[in-house]
Amino acid sequence: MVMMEDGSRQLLRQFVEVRSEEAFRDLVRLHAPMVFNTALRQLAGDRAAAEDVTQEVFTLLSRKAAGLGGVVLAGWLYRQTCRRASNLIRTETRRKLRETSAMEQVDRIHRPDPSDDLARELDAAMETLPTKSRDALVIRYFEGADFSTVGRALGISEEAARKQVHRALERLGAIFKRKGITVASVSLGGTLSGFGATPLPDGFVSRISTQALKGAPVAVGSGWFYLLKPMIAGVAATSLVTAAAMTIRSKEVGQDSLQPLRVEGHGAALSRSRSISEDTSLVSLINEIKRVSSGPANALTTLRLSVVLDQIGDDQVAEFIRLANGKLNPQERAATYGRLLERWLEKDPESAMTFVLEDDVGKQVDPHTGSKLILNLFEDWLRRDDPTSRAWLLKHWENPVLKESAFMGALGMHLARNVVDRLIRADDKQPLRDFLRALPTDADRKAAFDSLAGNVPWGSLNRFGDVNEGLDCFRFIRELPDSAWNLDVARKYLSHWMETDPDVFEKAASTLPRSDRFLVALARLSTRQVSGERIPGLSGGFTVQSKPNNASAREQEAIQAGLDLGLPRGEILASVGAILLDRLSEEDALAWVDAHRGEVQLDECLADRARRFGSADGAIDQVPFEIIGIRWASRISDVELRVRMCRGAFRKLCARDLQNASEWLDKPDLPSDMHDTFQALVEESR
Amino acid sequence: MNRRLNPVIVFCASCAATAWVWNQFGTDAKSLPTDRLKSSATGNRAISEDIHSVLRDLGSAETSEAKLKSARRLDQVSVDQIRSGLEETPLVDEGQLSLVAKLFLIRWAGEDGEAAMNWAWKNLRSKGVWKSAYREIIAAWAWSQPTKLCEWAKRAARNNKPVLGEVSLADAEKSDHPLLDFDGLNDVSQCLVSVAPREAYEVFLIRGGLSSDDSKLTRSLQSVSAVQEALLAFDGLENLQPDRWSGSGIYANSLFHRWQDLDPDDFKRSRFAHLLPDRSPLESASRPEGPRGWISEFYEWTSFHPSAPPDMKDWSPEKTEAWKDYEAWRN
Repeated sequence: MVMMEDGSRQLLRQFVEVRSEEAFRDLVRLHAPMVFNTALRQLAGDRAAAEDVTQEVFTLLSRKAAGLGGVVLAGWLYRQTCRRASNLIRTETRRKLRETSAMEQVDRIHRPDPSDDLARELDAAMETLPTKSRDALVIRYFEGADFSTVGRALGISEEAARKQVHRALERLGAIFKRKGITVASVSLGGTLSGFGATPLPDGFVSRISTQALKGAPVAVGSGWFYLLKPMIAGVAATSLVTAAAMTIRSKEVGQDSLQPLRVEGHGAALSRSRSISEDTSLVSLINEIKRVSSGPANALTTLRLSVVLDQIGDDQVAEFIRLANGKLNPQERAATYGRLLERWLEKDPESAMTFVLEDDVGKQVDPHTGSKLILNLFEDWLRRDDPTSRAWLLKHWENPVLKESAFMGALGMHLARNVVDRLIRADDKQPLRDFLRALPTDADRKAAFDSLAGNVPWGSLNRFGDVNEGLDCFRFIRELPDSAWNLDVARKYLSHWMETDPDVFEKAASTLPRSDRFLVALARLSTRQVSGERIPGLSGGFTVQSKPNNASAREQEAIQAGLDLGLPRGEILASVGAILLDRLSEEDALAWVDAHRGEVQLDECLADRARRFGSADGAIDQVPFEIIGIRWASRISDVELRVRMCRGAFRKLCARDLQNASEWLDKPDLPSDMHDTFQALVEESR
Repeated sequence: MNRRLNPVIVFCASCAATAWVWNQFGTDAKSLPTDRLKSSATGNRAISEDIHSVLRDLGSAETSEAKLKSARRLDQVSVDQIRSGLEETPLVDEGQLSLVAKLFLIRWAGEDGEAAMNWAWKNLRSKGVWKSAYREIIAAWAWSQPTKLCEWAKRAARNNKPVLGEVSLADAEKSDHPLLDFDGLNDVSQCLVSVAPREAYEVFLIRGGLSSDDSKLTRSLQSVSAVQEALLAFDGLENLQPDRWSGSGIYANSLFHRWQDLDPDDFKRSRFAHLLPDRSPLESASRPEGPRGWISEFYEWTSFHPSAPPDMKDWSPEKTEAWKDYEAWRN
């Protein structure tokens, strides 16, 4: 255990006696986190100002060190920080009244961060405490020391230190109460830990030490005394270092040479986990998580966070999360919940997942991370125990949490896709058939294949190993009982396969029966691009370069394959047109529709394309979504549907931007036969 | 003789004489154990032994606490010895950047991010762990010297236009300086946003484009003042117009929304208030009457009652007709 205040005294003595820069740096390392965080708190999160105050305080320390032998250093530093921070606030306020700040460019209104009342009142309340009480709280909570260290610093026993801290908390609680802030002394301790020191980077410590030492007093004198002083210092320093080396070396024999002799270095804040073992209340852990998470997002912080999270038992995860929801911010929750839940999932997956749904844990972090968290947990469970996990999914299918997600579509459907992706690779397809049968609707069954069909950006097909595995999957889809949707899924599946692995796809396609050739041709037509060269990338993976797939050549192939199969031309064109409306640019697709007017009925596809612009406001190249929708809807052959859709779109534009709507009236984009109707709608809206 | 030099010379002479005397007593004045790690005089052999000892401990550590305890011991290798420490360390462990290498790079980046970055580029870009090293470095660098990281990222992006996908290994091997891609600049913005919002958005504007992580960046701004600071990265905010969002204005728009989320009243008082619709509770009450209000009513109704039709019996024929048109359009 680190004896911080004892260590401070030793270091201070070393600095005073031999002007050891090393000792001074260690002092800065030890106390700078407390000083910086106190300043930061008082200066409403202004990092630059807090750094200035930290610099001032340590510069002062380097000058006054000789006179600080009898004081509790942490307490002295804390008082100096508060004093300098309030001086700075006063000066800044005066300055800002005089000057025009660059910040005013964006209407900056300078005021404290809207954090809680306690943070704002804390230092003022601390100031009113007796010195000993204040020092006790600073060492215990702002520097994270244990009671025995507090005792040694104050020159009292550990038990007396415990009582001193308790009394100080009660006094602080009473002060808060007078200010209208109610907080129990027990929870106040946990809360104060949250205001404690966050680690500071080495660069910061180094910068502060170097600058402070520049300000340290240099020896002054005259005559022989002037030369005597450095001579004595030289003899003393060399002797001290040599003697210390001899002593230490004699003790060091047989010990690990890397055992730290310094009080604490870079890892001062890192080692704060030692206080956790003493005080394992969940509130303290939450405060510790806040402190650790406020550090840089690197591997060291992750490791430190793991140390804290290891203190939470598997049976405490639910209680911890419920408590932390109101205390940790979304980023902190995201960094902790997933790891705790993963651990719980390993022991008791069903309880862990059910808790996630019942408490809607995903909502407690940001929507994207929350959805991803549930997906990852389920995938992990599925990998280890697919029968139980899929039974759980079906049981909770109607749960509201699974009905939405931050991604496209319902979260439950994303989980179902994972189940399908996994089961379709198994030799025994019966579990997959059972799972699909258990899904409530045909739409659900179809959507469960979205990943295999490439309908979602993270399609899973490229994980297939060889031709036979891919063909096996295709046959399964084709043999599904409902032909209304399985043909569409099968075609998209083939297209996704062609896009991902064109060579293997062509090999597989050549083995398919004649009856599937039209389907294969449609798949080729719907494939926008195919994978090309695999270029090794910096992260050890590959970037796949895509080549475009020529639509017009594929169109003729598809029509011919349909005719070879003896299908009616209208039916072939409907299939081809439905694909081209999706594949081609708006201009080309509408030209294709105009060229085949009378030959093919595409109302459903056209209405679908038009409605894609119905749910949002916006414009592409200055053309409002409503006008783009009207371009598609005006090609619909069903007269009533055409008129209603065009009117609906134009009504919306009138409501959203009447001036824009009237400007579009005379442009050729709108169907001329509806000009009067649109004109009337503009008038009606005025 | 310069009077200011005298004390230094006297001090040094005293030190030398005292050391000689001690030496005569056979004390063999060697450095302290902690200093030993920091002294280049002891050479790489000592560092090597120490590092190997830490590596052994890290390898056998079963808990995070034990790992952290071992990791702390690396702190005693001084920053100027990190380079040689890294050269003696296994950099890759089971295909990943080793923990020791990460810890060394974190410390180095806290002192001199650019030197750490250049070393990592030179030594790690062909080992498949560059990205991992890069993320550790920028996280530590952003923490200690955000402005320098911002300047470095902007310079790197100016010198070599960041590619949209991943930088190819072939291109990387040809370059002496780190090549950034879209994600790399994005990572810098994410690391900077909590400590220096303005710098984060300066890098973000250089990155351009859109990413699913963009909303995460905006959400990381936890106060109105942080949002305002981020807005300082933008030029020409005064030229923005409502419903005409394009280019960098799209990013500014997301910051205005964040501002509005954090403190709607404050945003309402700002000179940007006209750019976004008011979110006051009176909004629905101030819905326009007649045809222009019907569409709002339609959207409200359908979002709360997706499959239930409203009661139309008291509606005018015009309103009923408009409702059916909207239904056909939205379906």
